[in-house]
Amino acid sequence: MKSPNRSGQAKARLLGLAAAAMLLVPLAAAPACASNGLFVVFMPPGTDNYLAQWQKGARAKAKDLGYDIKIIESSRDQAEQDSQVQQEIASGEKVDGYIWWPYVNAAGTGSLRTLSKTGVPVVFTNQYPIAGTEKFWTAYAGVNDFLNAETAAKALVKACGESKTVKCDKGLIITFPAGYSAGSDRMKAFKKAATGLTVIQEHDAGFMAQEGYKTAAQIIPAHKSEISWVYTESDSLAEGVIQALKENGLHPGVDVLVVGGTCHGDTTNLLQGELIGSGIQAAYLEGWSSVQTAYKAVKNGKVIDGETYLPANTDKPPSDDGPVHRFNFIPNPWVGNTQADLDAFRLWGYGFKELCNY
Amino acid sequence: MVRRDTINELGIRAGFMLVVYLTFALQLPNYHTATGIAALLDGAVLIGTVSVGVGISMLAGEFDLSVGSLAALTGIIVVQAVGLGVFPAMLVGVAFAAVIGALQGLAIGILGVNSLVFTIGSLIGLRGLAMVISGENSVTIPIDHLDEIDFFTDRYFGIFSPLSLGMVAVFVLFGLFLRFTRWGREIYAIGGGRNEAKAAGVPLLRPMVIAFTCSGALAGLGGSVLSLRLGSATPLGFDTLLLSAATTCLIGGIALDGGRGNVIGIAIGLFTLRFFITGVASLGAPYYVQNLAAGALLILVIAGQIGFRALHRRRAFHRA
Repeated sequence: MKSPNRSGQAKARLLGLAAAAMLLVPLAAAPACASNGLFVVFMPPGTDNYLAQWQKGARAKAKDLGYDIKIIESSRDQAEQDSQVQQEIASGEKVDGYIWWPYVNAAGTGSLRTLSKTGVPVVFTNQYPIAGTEKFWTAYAGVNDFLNAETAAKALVKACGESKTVKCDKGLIITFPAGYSAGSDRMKAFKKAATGLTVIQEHDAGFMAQEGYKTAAQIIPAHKSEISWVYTESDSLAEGVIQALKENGLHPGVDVLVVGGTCHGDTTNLLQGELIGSGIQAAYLEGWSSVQTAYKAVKNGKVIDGETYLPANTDKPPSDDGPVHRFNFIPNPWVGNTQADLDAFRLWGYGFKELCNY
Repeated sequence: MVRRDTINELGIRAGFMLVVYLTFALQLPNYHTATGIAALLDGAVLIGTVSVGVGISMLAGEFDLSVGSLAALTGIIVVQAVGLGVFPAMLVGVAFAAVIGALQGLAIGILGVNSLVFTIGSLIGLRGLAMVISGENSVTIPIDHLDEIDFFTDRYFGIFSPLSLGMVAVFVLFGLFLRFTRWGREIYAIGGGRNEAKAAGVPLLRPMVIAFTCSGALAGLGGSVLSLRLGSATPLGFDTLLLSAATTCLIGGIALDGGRGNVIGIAIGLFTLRFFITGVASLGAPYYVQNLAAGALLILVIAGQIGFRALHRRRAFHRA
């Protein structure tokens, strides 16, 4: 039997494609299937590989739990996302839980507040909720950006201590786009944990390697004689930065230590020692755990104050039973930069390649 | 008097808009209820308001690329000035945006620079200014004060909010301005044929300044009201606004080379696009499908427009 979430998605794609082909014909209704309920997700577009993997994880978990899931993608514009929230609420659709991923966290507060007024559980995901919004959301599920950056900083400090070629002192921080709160959270946590390291410049870039390259190519020439490390918030950005470092005559891993702290699909830089290691921030597991948290919130009807880290089991995912906390973080383990390190890595039954394929 | 072929063309566009609406209304629960229509209207406010301004610059044979950046900048100014009160802050924001627009129109008119070239510069520069003023971060209305902007969601006659009523007022006022005032007709005149307008004694600078002032003020108004409703503004916001506004105008029959089209067409273009995008998004379609569908819609409308005009010319030729 065709699964409900797949049939809903297929229907939506069919509609869009049919419209694209100028065929404004009545659409076939999706086959009715028994469902335990519906989760609605508001998030930026899945054209980014990370977000696409997040969606796969969310869909897989919803299917596993017998729920339908509707993912409403916005452009990278908070006004558009707000409009979608208004429209969804106005639709009168019976929703069991909302999952909220704003593009710009602070700018999404108004929409989050609107969702909270429905009385339906709202699970915040991916970006750490900003202070003061606690009454507008039920639980947070996803990465701990502070821990992610702290892990990267500690790994860098350790690598600096062990390096025979680099004496770490001054360095650069290249971040996610301005206004993206996960980026500023990571930067703050990194600076706090990177003891003994001096930041000479911080610059926002984006999410992708080409954005990291573009920014790094502009600022590295002015600092190439003095930088000994670079923190980039993700390995994807690091890829572009490493390219810019090489073009400026520097050898990553030899002259300069580079850390991103969030893995991605291309392991070339990692295995060549140009990155000191990586953090496993699995997009798939974040989507998976967001839906599980929404399910637990609906099932239990109450949320325990405080935070919890989902267990970093190597072979199986966490149980659907048990309480839901206000903060439900996915594990963010560190992995070294050799093939043996990557091959040995397991989390919730998945290997490095399966979790870092974005 | 409005020409008969203009009425026919508007009728066809309106018919197409209804087809789009009905297609989704048959699929989506409550798409045709009062709450659903109210949400559709609210969702159209930003693009609708800005589209009128962009449409006016297009009618003048120009194009204002800076509307998204100006909306973002104005949003930041208004949110930062909200301590003055919601309406005074909006007034400050809109006045600022109107002055920026007027200066752009003045510069383009006096220097004779192509507006595309000039507004690429202001698009980048105003975005940079927004980054500077905001300190590269989102600016927000304090959470404890969000109750003060709840009136934006009040309802009148079941389907209107203060924002959607404001949008309707913008359409009516600017429609009347373009149709019945001398300054409005001058905008059409310089868009329809600059040399002919000059020969007929129409000044070039005044309509240029007015067109860009309207464009700037309406971008500022859109940015202000949306930022206030969201309770926040971000320097990188509204980056897709220009494309949406331009698409709305083109679907609504505003000619890229100026002088042809009207505000009713823009309204039809606005709702055709909003019904379409909102409908596709509400069904949970991926973002790329929304883009694909919007692009296809635009091509479909333009192809239909070309066909309609060719048919019209052919009939006119045979009649002659």
